[in-house]
Amino acid sequence: MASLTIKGLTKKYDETIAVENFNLEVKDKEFLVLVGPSGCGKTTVLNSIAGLININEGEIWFGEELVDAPQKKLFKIPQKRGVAMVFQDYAIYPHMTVYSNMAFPLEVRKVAPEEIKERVIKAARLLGIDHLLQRKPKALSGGQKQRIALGRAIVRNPKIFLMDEPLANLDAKLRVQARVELKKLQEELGVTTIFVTHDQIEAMTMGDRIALMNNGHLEQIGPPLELYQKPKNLFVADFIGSPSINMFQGNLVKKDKSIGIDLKFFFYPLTTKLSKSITDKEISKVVVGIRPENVLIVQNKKDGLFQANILRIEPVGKEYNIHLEVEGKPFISIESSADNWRQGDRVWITFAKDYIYIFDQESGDIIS
Amino acid sequence: MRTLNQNILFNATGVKQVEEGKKEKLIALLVILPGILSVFIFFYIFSGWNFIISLTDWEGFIPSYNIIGLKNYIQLFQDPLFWTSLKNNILLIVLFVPGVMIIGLCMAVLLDQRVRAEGIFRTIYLLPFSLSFVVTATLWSWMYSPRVGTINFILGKLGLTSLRKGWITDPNMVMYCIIIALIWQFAGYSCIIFLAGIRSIPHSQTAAAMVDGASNFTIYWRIILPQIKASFITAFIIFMCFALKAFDFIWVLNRGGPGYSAHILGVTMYKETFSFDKFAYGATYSTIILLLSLLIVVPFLFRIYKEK
Amino acid sequence: MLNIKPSRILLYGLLIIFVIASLLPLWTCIVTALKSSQEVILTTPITPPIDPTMEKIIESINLLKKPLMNSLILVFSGVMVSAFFGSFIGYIFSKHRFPGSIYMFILIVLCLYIPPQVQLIPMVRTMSNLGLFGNLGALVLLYMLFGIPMCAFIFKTFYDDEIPDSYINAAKVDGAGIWTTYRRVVLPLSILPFVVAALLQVVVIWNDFIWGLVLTSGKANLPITVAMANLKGSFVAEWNLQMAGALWVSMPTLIIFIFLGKYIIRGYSGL
Repeated sequence: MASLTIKGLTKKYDETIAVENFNLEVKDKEFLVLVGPSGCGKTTVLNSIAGLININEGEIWFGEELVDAPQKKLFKIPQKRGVAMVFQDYAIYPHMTVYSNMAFPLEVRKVAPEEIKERVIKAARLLGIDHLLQRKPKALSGGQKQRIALGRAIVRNPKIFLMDEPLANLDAKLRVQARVELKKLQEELGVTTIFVTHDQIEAMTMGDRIALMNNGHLEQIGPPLELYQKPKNLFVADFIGSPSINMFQGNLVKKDKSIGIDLKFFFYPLTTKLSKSITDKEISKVVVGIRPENVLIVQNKKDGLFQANILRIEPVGKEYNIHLEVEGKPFISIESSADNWRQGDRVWITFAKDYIYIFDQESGDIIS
Repeated sequence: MRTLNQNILFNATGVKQVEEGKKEKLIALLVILPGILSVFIFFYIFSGWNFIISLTDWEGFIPSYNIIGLKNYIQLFQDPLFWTSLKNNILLIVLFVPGVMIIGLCMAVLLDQRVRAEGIFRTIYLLPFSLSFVVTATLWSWMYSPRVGTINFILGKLGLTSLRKGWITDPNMVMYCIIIALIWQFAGYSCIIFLAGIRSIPHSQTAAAMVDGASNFTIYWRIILPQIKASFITAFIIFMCFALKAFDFIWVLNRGGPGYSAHILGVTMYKETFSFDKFAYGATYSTIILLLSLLIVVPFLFRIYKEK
Repeated sequence: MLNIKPSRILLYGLLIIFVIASLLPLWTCIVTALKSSQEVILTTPITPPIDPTMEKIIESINLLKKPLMNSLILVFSGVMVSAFFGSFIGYIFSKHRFPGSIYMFILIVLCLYIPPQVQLIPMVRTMSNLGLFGNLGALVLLYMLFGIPMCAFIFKTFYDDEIPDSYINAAKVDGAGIWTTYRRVVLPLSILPFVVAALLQVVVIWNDFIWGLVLTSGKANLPITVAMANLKGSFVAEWNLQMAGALWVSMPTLIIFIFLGKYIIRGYSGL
């Protein structure tokens, strides 16, 4: 058990920079999810922690122990780092039985045979695979293989768990179940865990905290709801949440005495407090972001509303995704009932006031 | 291997720590080194040595010689036997390489038609390739034998008595006889290369073309053949290199005879070296064979591995 | 089965023509080997023997017994050494690359295409310096080296395609070093490439001619192909003896191709 600290990690492949000046602190026993689109460098970070690749700059600490620091010519080989890793393809050796697969890390560490047996059986019981121990992995299902891979990781009592998209190869239903089990297991064992995924739902549901990466650097780190509710920039707002946040480009304009945003189809007035913070920054072009659940469809025309067409009504179980369009710009609203509308209707729309995000169009950073 | 100096490293507390990963890798390299080194000596140092020999006047088994520069090469280019050998070699290349590729491709396409017992056909087609050239040369001298040979017998049976020939005893025919026999021996191999290429194309592509109404011919011509370019290149390289270094079959068949009519570069090289003890002159021939082979292979190899 | 399409008949007709063409020389070889010298003259080359006799088969094996043993020695020693070296080289080049390893590997593969003529003269010199010229030992040494490039290529291709890097990484994180990973993970999964490499090597060494011709001398040291070529040269008119000898020489490789052909095909089609 240990905390993990990464300072200024940079990794280059030839000329391309995979990860640049990456900083991260993971608390002891924390479940941290590293999430981001493919190619964002999350797997590079994970492999650096494991010692599977050599980093160019930076330091990696496990608790008080420095394990990787190229500037100090220090590199601890993966064999000595005491981490356990679960791979996307599980990396289960097909020629060994389930038991031997799980015993392998202990055998190469020369643990006494009795102890190996004890620990493997204990881990197998915990994962509910003790009846499979004598089987060869070939005939086992994806879910079972995934548990074996987990089992091989936990028999070692590692300092840190590293998981590289371990649920990506499971089918949808199994994945939901595995998510819950894995999270429960981690809480029981209390092992610091770094979990890499490209799936934001997995990130939201599993992580104590989420670190969202893009283009080789960290965009934002925090508890799931913080990322959802207080995104630092456009990328975070767009990546987290499903269906994605609606975005409208607009210009800041003065109208009468107050400042507002001209969205072409609609003038959105700003509160005095907001307008003050904006005018300080000398920004004219902005992006307005609003989550689908905060786009409200109303029956009657009132002030501060605008009209949009219903393109499609999509039932997704208990709610409906209503696809709308205003002046050629599509957006989505989530409603709990769609009885009053039909495709092609023209309806009145409002935004829930406190849930609107305004971003600087140029930098992408949030303004409010 | 810059790791030699970094081998002993210091960790944060200043305690000496041997960096085991790299030490282990170094040991692994040391283990494979003798193998690789002797392979490199055998293939590359020897090639260089052979070139140096070609610059000398070494004759006879005992090595005593002077460097004479490129004189052997000048002599080579004035030697009618060299031009005969080259001419025969080019004839072999021009007929054998496309011949074996076309027949192999035909076999592969035929085998690709959901044939019953495909495995048996494939095995039979490949059987000639299992044989040593010594064996096939023996078999074909029996086939081509003017008096009792199978070919003349069959021609007689078919009433084509006028086509009966001396075959390998006829200086004008012998190269063609050799080419046919070699195509016979390599066709199955060629078939395997093309079949592997055809089979590597996802079935969904041909299925899609069929649904679109493409004829069998169109499917092969427009969809499959353009995608097995790699197989064509592989086959081309393999057969070219074989045709350049060929020796065994022709030597066992009739020592490159009658006369010089079946002398190709490999045969003449052997004869000059080991029959006439002209080691330096033989080395000149080998150098030419090597250069021609490299000319074909090197661009191909670098292209393949650059892609990786 | 009455409605067979004409195109199918044509297809099988063509396939069978290729079968006849492939087998005809072998057929005449077998029937001739079983004929007495008198019958060879009296019957056609493709008719089966009326009165089959093992006489020439036995006579030829008596002539080829010693060379056959020699070739067996060459095959076993050569296959063992080059397959194990090839496997380890393939493993290192596939899973533990180092700076420049790709170029080194290209050089190893290039060896496959270097014509043997270039090495003949230097090899003769080297072997006579080592005092091995004319001996079987020269060939033993040669074939051990000779097969390494091909084996390394087969194993590297297999490890690249069939053993995911995650196996190696998992073993690394679990605490296994290069050796342990090789012994416990890679080697047990290498049965197929070992079979393929070994069979291809057996065929190559067994069938090789030029090196035996150049490097060995004296009846006791000849490999079987060279002895067979001598047999052909010295009994020109005795076709049945020649064919019987050819049968013996081709037997092992024919058996391999017929019964283990799928491994051979995997090797030839690049695994």
